[in-house]
Order: sequence, then C-alpha cells, then structure tokens
Amino acid sequence: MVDILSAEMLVIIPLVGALISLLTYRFRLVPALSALLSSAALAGLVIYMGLNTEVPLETSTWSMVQGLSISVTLNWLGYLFLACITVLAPLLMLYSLEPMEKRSRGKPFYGLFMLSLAGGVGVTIAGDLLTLFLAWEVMTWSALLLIGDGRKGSSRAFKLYLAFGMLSAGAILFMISMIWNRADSLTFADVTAAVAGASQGYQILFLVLGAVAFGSKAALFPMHIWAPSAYAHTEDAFTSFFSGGLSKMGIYGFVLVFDVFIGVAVLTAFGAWNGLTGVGLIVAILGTITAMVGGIKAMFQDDAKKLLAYSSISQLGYIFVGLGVGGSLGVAGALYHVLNHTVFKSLLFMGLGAVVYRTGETRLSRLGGMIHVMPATFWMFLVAVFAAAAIPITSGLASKWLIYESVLERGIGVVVPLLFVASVSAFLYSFRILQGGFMGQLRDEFKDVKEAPITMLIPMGILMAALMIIGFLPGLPMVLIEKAMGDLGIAAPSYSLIELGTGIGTYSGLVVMLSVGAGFVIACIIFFGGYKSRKISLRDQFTGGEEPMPHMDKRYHYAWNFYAPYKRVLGPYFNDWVSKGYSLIYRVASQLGRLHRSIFNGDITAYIWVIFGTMVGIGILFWKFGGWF
Amino acid sequence: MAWSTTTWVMAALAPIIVFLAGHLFLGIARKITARIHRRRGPPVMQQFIDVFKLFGKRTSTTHSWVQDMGALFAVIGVIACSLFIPIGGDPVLSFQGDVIVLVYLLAIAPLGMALGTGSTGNPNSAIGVSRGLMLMLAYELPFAIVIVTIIVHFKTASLGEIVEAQKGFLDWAVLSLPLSAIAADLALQGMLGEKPFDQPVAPSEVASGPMVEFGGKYLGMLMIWHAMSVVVEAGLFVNLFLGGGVLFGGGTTLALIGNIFVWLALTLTVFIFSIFINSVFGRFKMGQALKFYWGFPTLIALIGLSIAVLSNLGVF
Repeated sequence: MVDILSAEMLVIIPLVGALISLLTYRFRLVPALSALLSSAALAGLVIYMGLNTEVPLETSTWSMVQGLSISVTLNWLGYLFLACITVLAPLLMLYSLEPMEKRSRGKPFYGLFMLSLAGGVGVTIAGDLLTLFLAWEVMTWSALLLIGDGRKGSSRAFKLYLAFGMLSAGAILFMISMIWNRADSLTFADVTAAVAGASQGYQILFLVLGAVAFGSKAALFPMHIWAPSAYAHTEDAFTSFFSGGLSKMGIYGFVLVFDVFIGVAVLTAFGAWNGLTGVGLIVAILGTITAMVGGIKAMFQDDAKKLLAYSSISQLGYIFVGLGVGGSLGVAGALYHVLNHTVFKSLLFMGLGAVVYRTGETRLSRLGGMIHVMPATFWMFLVAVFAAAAIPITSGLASKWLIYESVLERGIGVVVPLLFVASVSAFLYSFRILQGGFMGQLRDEFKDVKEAPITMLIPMGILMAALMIIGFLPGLPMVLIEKAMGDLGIAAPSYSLIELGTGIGTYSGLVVMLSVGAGFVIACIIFFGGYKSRKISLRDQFTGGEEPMPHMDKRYHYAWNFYAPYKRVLGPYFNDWVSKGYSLIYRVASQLGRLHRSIFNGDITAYIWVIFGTMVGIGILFWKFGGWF
Repeated sequence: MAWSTTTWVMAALAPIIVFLAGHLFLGIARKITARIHRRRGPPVMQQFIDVFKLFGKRTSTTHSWVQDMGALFAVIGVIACSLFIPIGGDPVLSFQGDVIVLVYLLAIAPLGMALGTGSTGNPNSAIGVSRGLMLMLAYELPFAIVIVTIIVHFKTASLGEIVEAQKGFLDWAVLSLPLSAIAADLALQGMLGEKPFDQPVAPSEVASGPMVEFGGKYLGMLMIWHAMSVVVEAGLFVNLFLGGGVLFGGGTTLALIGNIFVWLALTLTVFIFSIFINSVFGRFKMGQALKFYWGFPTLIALIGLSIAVLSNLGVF
C-alpha cells in the first residue's frame, strides 16, 4: 500500500485521472469529471502537504536495468513549482467544462491535459536526471498533441514545437550521458558532485546544454520562436496551462542546472564582479533581450492570443534576469515572478478564452466593446492586465521590483533601463488588447453576446482574488519562496507580511494600497459630489459637428494597425531575424539531405561503395591517428 | 509603522498642496505663454475658474461606467503619487515606496485614463491614448537610465534618502551629474506632454485626443489630474536633482513651511523652463519623437551612467 503523503502518490493521482479520461474519451462527461476530481484531489494533497510542512518527502527509488533507477522525492524548491501547476489545474478543468462540451469530441482533451499535468508533476518531484527526462518527455508530447486548433498556421506551430521539443530532449539526453560517463549515477547529488569535479570545458558544455534543454521550454531568446504560434494554436482552455504552468517547468530545470548542479561557487570561478558572475550576466542580458523582443513584438500583434503569447515570452525574460543576477534578491524576485506569472498569465488567457468562446473571434480588429456585454470578464481581465503591467495595486510590482533592485544592488544598472522599456511596452500591449477587445464600439453582430458562464467566472475570480490579496500583502508568497531558497542555500531578503525590504529601498504593499484607497475616497467625493451625468449611446460621438455617414458603427473602432508610427521605425530592427537564422539552418540541412539522397539512391552498388569507402576511411584514420584512441 | 505627527499632517496636506500649486502653475504658464506670443493672456487664477465651472455644469454625458472609472482612476493615481513625493525635504510616505515604486505608481493615472477614454468609442481618443503610450515608451528609456544613475550615485532608491543626501547646495545632483540632469529634463518635457511632445492631445490633429468625449465634470477630473501631475513630475525632478528644496535646516515647523515654499518655487522654475520650450517649438511626429528620445538624450544619459558607475568603482 502506498502512503498517501508520499512523492509517488503525487504522480499516481494525475496518471490515474489521465488513464480514465483517455480510456473514456468518447463519453461526454466522464473524462471531464475524472480530470476535475483527480486534479482537485491532487491540488488538495499538495496544499495539505504545504500547510502541514510535510515537505521534504523521503526519496523512493525503483531499480531498473543496467544500474539505472528511477527515483522521486520532493523538496521545497520543487514544491514551489509543483504548487504552481497543481493548484492551477483543477481551476482550468472547471473552466474548460463548458467550452469543451461543444468542441473536440474525438480528441482526448482531458486525458492529454491530465497527462501533461502528470508529466509536469513528475518533473518537479524527480530525484534524478533520468526520471526528469522521462517526465519531461511525457509533458512535452502530451502538450504537443493539444496543439492544433484547425486555424491557419497550426500545422506550422505543431512542427516548430516538435523541433524545439526534440532539441530539448536531445540536450537532456546528452547531459545524462555526460554525467553517466563520470559518475555512474544520475541522482541530483551525484550530478552536482560530478560537475563540481569536472574540467571547465565540461562545465561550460553542461551549462550550455542545460540552457538549451530548459531555456527552450521557457522560451529564452533565441529559442523563443516556437512559443507565439504554439500558444496561439492550442485549445483555448489549455493555453492557460501551457503558458502559465508548463513554461515554468523550463524555469525549474534552469534553476536546477544553474543553481543546484553548477552552483555559484563554480560560476564564480569563471569570473565574477561584486557577486555578479560573468555567466550570470550573460543570462541576465539574454533575459533582457527576451523581455524586450517579446514586449515590442507583442505591441504589434492583431491576434490576441499571439499578443498574450509574446507577452508571456517577455515576462519569462524577467525571470531569467533575476536568476542570472542571482543572490538573495535576484533569486527571490525570479521565484516570486514565477508565482505571479503563473497566476496572471493564466487569468489573461482565461479571460481571453471566455471572449473567444462567446464570440469565436481572436482578432482584435474584429472585436471591440466587450465591456458592454461581458463586464465581469472585463474586470478580471483588467486586474490581470494590471498585474502584467506591474501596476502597484496588484501583485505584479513586487516581483519586478525585486528583480530591478537585485540588479541595482550590484552597483551596475546595465540591464535595468532596457527592462524598464520592456515594462513600458507591457503598458502598450496591455492597452492594445484592452482597447481592441473590450473598449470602443460594440459591433452589431456581438450585440447579443452573453456574459461568460459561471463555471468560467468562478476559477477566474479565484485567480483575481489571489492577485489582489498579494497586492495588499506582498510578503505572503515570500513564506514559500524563503523555504525554496533555503534548498538552494541562499538567504531570502528581509520581509514582513506587508513590506519587502532591500538594501536600497522599500516596497510596502499595504501603504501603497492605502494611499490608492485614500485617492479613491477623495476622487469619489469630487466626482460623485457633482451633478449627475447622463448616459448616451456609443453612436453619439464628437465628429466636428457633422454627421459623416448614417451608420457609423463598423468603421469607428480604432483597432487596426495600432502603434503604426513605431512599427515603421522599430519594424526593421524586430524583423524576425532569429527565425531567418533558423530557416538558414533548415536550408543547409535540407541541402545536405538532398546530397545524402543523391548517394543513397536505391542502387545497391552505391551502398557497397559507401560501405567500402567508410571502412577504408576508418582504416586510414586508425593507421594515422590510432594512438589517440 | 510609527509615524510622527508631521508625517500624518504632511500626508494629509500633500494632495492639497499639489492641487493648489498645480492649478496656480498652469495659470502662470498660460500667462507666460501668452506674453511670449505677445498676447495679454487669461488671469492667473483662470485654471481654478475653469475647473469650478466644469464641476458646476449641469449636463455632462458618459458612454459607459468605464468612462466614469477612467476619470476616477486618473485622479486616484495622481493623489497616490503626490503622497510618495518628498515635499520640501519632508519625505511624506516615500520611505514606504522607493523611486521604482513611484515610477509604476505614476502609470496608474495614464492607464486608468486610457481605459476611460478608450471606452468612449471615439477613435480620436484611442489614437490620442496610443500616442501617449508610445511617447511614454520613447522617453522612458533615457528617464530609466537617469533613475539608475541616481540610484547608483546615491546608493539608495529611496527618494527620502536621495533628498537627504543633497542637503548642501554643492551636493545637488545637478552639479555632480550634469549630463543626467539634461537627459532627465528632456525626458520631463515628454512626461509633461509639452511641445514638441504634445502629440497625445494635439488639438489640430486628433481633436484634443483623449479628452474628445469628455465634458463637464469628466473634463474637470482630467484637468485636476493634469494640474496635479505637472507638480508631481516637475517635483520629482526637483527631488532628484535640485536637492528637494531643502534650504532651511533645523527641523522646525517653520523651517519645513519655508522649505515647502522653496520646493514649490523650484518646481515652478522647472515647469516654466519647459513652458519656454513649449511656446517656441512645433510638434514632432511620433516616429520623430522616438528617434529623438532614443538618440541624443539616451546617449548623454548613458554617458552620465558610465561616469556614475566608474566613479563608484573608484576610477575617478
């Protein structure tokens, strides 16, 4: 009998849920209920473990062939990421009840969803690299099968995700073989020891492979190009989990490589200044570029899901900056932003998904005026937008603030101005999506659109409440972050429930909230003390005293080609040259394939010649360089 | 949080001081612009008269509740900001939120207003708001570099401590970081929305942009926001570079009152300087504004930052 409070239980529950959902995927309600119940049970278990401090759990190991083994465990660092995805999952299951009712019969949505959840859980509780790899692949492939919504471009999205999934898998396999050669064991402690005792070239290779393997999942520049299309073309209900939850697994893997396997001591040996390591600086700069590119590309999107996808890339860039800068503030800021981003990005995709569910439209230029028909959705979306733009009345500022201060505390501010620009671009794309989707004039065809169903609003409301409460009490998530940082051996910055403090400044969530509240009271007195205003129709507009046309509804919503002046100036610099670089690799590869094809053309004599030539070549190599082997 | 009586009194007075000063400054600015244009100009108190007139209007129209919310947000944001700006050397609440928090607090008002104006459905307002945000993207780069320079120079992000570190006239950051001060002043021009950076409200192009559907008390709210944000933004410059107006030491109430007036005078000077530029320049196009801000001001701000970092390292 397996103990309830054990690490293997954490992965058994979602696997059972996934199995039932997969087997019964042709039924109407069974898969949904099984997914909802199992994910809720899992979330309950995880929350119970956290509240009763059952963590860290004991390691359970199963031996396999050739001395390989699978082991699961759980420490606080893993718990932080585990909590992100497991608490999110039941909310999303509830959320997808209604939209999935009508769609994707014949596609095992819930089964794949639960399988990717199980994979994610497996990643966070893995005790060795092999388990991590297996769970990683389960997560990647089940998510892959959910890409493709039938719209134009989804096959390209599928292939891109596949390519980067392979890249990541290959890199992890390479890492495993590197460690296996040195240590004959893949447990995390042995990995750390193996890396610490190796040469610098080995360490650099390990680091680069780790960055490729896990950075590509978290869409680190320049491995970000799969994300926009993949996020834009998954089922709406899954996108939240994909972008809000699963991308964090990449961050978790990166933290493992960067802070656990390699560690500050090794990184410092490569050169460091004032606590900032050279490698960390490179990561921070890559993160800044990610944040900038994501933010500025997001400004110019017309497809709302793509806009949010780019925004997701941009926000994950901040996390990399925090991890790269490191130290108490940097890591705290990064982990804080992991929690924050999980909540607000999920909420953003859920809010957008509600609009898409009711209207069937993701293009901002075709939407508009949704505040008049979906006010509750608008409120929740607005709070999430505020958090994404780091407006102080939500939780968004605390994490970004910690990241800024972490860079500034090092005495150099190289990346902060660019991060600020990325942050302002968040204002711009936030307004773009609010203006295009929710504001402006309501189109005639959307006049009878109803508010989102209650099963969608409840999970969104829970996430919104979380953002608001953390806005009041920025110290609340620090309780968990402090424990996770304890596993990394880094001291957490000083904090109280209402206040975060660093060596150079303070952020008191409560005082900021109270002053905004005071402003609210005064503004209300001024505003509502005056004469009552009269409500007029949206068609009643200032047009210079003229009436240019009899029906002004369709042409009167400014949502097309937003920020055009900047598109003209910035466009050439953000002209997808990363994608072009990748297609160059593709062209070279396909030329090589053609060359290959011209040799192996089906003629048996050609094969014989090749085999003969190879053997001769090997013989020459051994004769000439035999001493090397 | 053991707040002294002075903190409480100043926290209560700060929005009132900023409100009164803002309208007075705008009145003076109108007068000065008129004199430069060889007109007589309206009376100095005209701004107060306008606001009270607007709130006295019996008819004001709204398109939806989001428009009401936008008007409220604008004033809420600026009142919250006014509490975090040290006034006359008194830190008010600035020890509870440092300059980075303030930069984000400053964004509440424009974003809230953007919501309200966007919801009216008039394309002119949406164009105006999009221009305002684009302008923000442009000036924020040099401004952020300046903020970083200040933090690196004074080794603190707390505005209260920054003001304290500039007690003597020779400690003023404008003397130790002159290039950054120039960059900050150029950024301030865009922040205040004065020419050549008045694209968001360009009356002849987008019919006053964000304000186009705002009348009566709605316009009144926006005018309060504008007046107060002028003082907050110019006052931020005074706190960062001009010592925060601390002239009288001693810490007595009388000295504080004196310092508040010095702070207001310095703020007015900074604002009038921008009005001088405003009254003789035309308007940039949006692309030109971006090219301008990411060019010369960014360059000198970067040089200023390098100087600050190098002197921190002990090179100078």
